[in-house]
Amino acid sequence: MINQDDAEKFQPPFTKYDISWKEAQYYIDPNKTKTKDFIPIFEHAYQKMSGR
Amino acid sequence: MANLLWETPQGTKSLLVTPFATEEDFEKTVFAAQDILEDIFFLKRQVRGGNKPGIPDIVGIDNDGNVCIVEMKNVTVDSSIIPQVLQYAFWAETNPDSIKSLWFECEKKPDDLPISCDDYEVRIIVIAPDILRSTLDIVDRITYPVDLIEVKRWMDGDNELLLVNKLEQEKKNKIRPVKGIDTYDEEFYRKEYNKNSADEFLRYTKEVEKIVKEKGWNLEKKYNKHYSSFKAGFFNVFGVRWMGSKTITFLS
Repeated sequence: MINQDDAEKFQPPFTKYDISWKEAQYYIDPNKTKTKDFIPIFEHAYQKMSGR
Repeated sequence: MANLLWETPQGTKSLLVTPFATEEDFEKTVFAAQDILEDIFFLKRQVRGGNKPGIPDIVGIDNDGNVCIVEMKNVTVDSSIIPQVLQYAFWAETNPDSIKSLWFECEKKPDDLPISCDDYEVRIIVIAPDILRSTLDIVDRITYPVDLIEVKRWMDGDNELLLVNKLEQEKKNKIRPVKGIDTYDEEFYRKEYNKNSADEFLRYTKEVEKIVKEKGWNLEKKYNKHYSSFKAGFFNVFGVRWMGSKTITFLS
């Protein structure tokens, strides 16, 4: 999971940042939301967790 | 005793594992390293003393709506801990009113927590510096989900390095009880949630899984009651979550 400061640097913007769980949430609209748009966010979360 | 060899530009440092001085030191370290228990919201954290027999000191709710019993021991743990934590789990299961009271007493509750005070599962988490592997054999035969987590520490001056190791049973044909832990799969989501939304939830989860494979990321997909997650060891990295019965979100 990424912190709020990092989450604010990425597009698409998060719908909500949940401080308790320390996670950014992005509502999915199946007619619009494309998973590939989230690759940079996923990549950042993975790199943070894997220490890269 | 485990050694940590730390390669630095200045050379290799050999660090010896540094035991936690007291139970309190151990518990403080675990709570301070928030990532270890990041998916748990604590309802009760009476870490030291004053407890009644059979009632746990640390109770929480995880982000899948399970009631979590956390037992920390700053000693080597073996299977003899299981009867004690089972007692706690049984208390949590048979006292929904107490869980409800703890929940309502909390001032800052997280949003969107999918807990049902009348229908929840109980999860047991045991944390200790060392846990004998034979404990896994007992854990495998009880119906509550149990996480056995080792936390070890190395010190280098002011720097503190923590190793968090979730013990996993080696894969083999397990002897399973008749009624066990619920299975979360495609059938479950189609039954529990809006069918069209379930299809979308599964489609997005599979698309994320495809990206994970293409990128070569070392993550494990796990379906939970309220979300799918891609995990690096013990930790959730990202996933897809239900917000109600129709709405889904990416989480990261």
